[in-house]
Amino acid sequence: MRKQLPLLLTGTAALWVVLCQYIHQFNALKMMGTTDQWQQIIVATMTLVGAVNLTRIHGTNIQRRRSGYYNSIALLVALWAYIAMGIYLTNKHVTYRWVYDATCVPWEATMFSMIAFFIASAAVRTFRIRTAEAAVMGLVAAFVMLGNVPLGPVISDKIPQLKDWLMNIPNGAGFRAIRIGIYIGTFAAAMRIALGLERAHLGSGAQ
Amino acid sequence: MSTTQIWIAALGTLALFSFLWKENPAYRFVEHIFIGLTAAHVVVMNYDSYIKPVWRDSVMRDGKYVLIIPFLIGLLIYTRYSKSINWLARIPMSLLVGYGVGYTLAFNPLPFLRQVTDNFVKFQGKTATITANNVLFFVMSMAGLAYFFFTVSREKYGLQYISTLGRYTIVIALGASYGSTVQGRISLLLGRMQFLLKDWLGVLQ
Amino acid sequence: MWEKLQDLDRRWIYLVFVIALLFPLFKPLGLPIKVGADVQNFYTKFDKLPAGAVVWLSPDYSPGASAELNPQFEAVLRHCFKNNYKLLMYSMWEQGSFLGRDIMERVAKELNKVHGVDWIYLGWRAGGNTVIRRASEDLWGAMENLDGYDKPLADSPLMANIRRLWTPDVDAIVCFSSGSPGDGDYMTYVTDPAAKEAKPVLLFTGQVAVQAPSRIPVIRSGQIQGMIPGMGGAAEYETLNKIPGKAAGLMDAQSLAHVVILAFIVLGNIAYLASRKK
Repeated sequence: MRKQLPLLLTGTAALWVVLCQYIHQFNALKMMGTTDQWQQIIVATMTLVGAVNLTRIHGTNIQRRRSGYYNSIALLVALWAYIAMGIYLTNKHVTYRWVYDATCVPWEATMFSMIAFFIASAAVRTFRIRTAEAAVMGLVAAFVMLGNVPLGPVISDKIPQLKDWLMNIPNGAGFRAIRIGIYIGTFAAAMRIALGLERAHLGSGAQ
Repeated sequence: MSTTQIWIAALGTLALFSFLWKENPAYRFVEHIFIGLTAAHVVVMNYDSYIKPVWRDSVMRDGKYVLIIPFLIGLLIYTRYSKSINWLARIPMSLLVGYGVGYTLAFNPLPFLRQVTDNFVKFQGKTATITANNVLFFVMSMAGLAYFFFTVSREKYGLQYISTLGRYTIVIALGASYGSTVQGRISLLLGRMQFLLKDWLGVLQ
Repeated sequence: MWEKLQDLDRRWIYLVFVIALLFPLFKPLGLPIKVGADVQNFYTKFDKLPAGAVVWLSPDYSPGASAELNPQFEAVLRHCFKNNYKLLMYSMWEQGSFLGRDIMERVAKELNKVHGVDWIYLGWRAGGNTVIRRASEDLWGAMENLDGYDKPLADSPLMANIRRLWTPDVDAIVCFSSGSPGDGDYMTYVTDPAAKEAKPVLLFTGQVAVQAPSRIPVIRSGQIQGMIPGMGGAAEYETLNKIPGKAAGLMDAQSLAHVVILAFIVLGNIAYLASRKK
């Protein structure tokens, strides 16, 4: 029961969508609208799991006075105060937006922007041209980089032309192969889950 | 943004950038607050943009009480915190995963087949260059696929040459990706520099 | 000397990199922005939509990609309003709905475009790709009959004849994508299935530079009509719009930073070869 029921539900849910898509009778796709809404409600109801997990982990940090536990206090205060504010005032309220614009937007942008420094450092330390493949990769990267910025056409008109050709023909062909491979791989993985051969999503004890 | 907002954003930005020098308490502090706020935002958006309108309008106003069932199914996920009934949390998970898998099986074949059929277009173009490019695209994409082909040995039947061409095709694609990635990451950093110098310090026009 | 470069503290590398980045911000080099084939193709095809065409704008990104995609979104938005297209804005990313709304409200106010008549903000709904699949059958249902400001869709004159994210109600989709869900989902659930209809829904995309190379095969097969790649693409679009924006002003810095990265790769390899010879 504890293993079989979830497996049965996985297979049935998958089969339902497939049947709705392929049976062109009784407005099958429109019927799927109802289960789509159920899926949306289930997803939305489950989202508190992230906040609860963070609370458990950081709650333990605080309880055991682990190093940097004051950061855990800050995290939990930010988490629950902002949730309370959002639920009480709604996400459209000016105060909620004020906090969001001052913190979430600039700080996330900063987190991602730091990768530029790591790319610069990696260019000096790790981009080693040891093989013919690495040489080809380096050359292509160089032409694409120059072709992507206004400096490229200033050096030579041929650079953007060469970049366009590299992007459209060899790069396009490479990504066509990768794309087809991904589709086949995704389809095979989906089939394994639908048939109950893959059970990782059910957690430990279901294997 | 108001002046206070700009200062909060800028000080947080500097604290995060301080990680480039070395790991430090200021970075850790801002990082933790950021995680808390972002996780909270996801909860608020789900509640405010979906749970609330569905419950208020569809369930309470329009009397669609059947929608209480998916709410209850969703709530089963929280049984994972109880040792005796935690297996019930598998029910919403299995339904969601099954539904997603169904989406893949039902809808992915169409875009996949369009990619496959597009490889077999007429080679002949308006000019000799277009024709040559069409042939080259076909050969290189097939060679790229051969590179991922593991059913028979790639060292026999001439497959080694095709596979080598495939390897170079993939290498070129990765090179192009690297070149584009550089632009992407620099863009993000420029965005932050512009914020610090223009919006915060006002030294940039 | 070359061995020293191999062991150079990474912070010196960061410093040189930042100086290269900052210099053109204070002293612009004035390099001309040449419009590339990708952006020209996007602009030409998008411009051909008739006045009054219904366009679905989808800012599917978070602040991490805003430096690249916000300028793209604004440039396309201005093009839409100039051509009098009717706009629906929905995001599959929670944060994208906030970022897009800010730009939409600002530009609409500047150009006197009225919410509910010229454009409508649909916000964000839980469910990711399920929402757009459902919208392809029943847009009102997928939005729970409300716009992004929690007002009934029935109050918006624009929505009177728009019932589905499907042809003929919607003419084109522009997805600004930095990951999943994104343009791939619009292709899978809306534009590819609708391709067999008499008047297909056209899919355009704005991409973060990282993803741009991987979209070439779907542009070639006609599944996506055109692409704006990265900040460079945004700057080119601003040039075509003849309205200078944020991206165009940063392209000089992009140029110099790219040269520095290339120089780093060359120096790193010289140092590597020199240390191997010893």
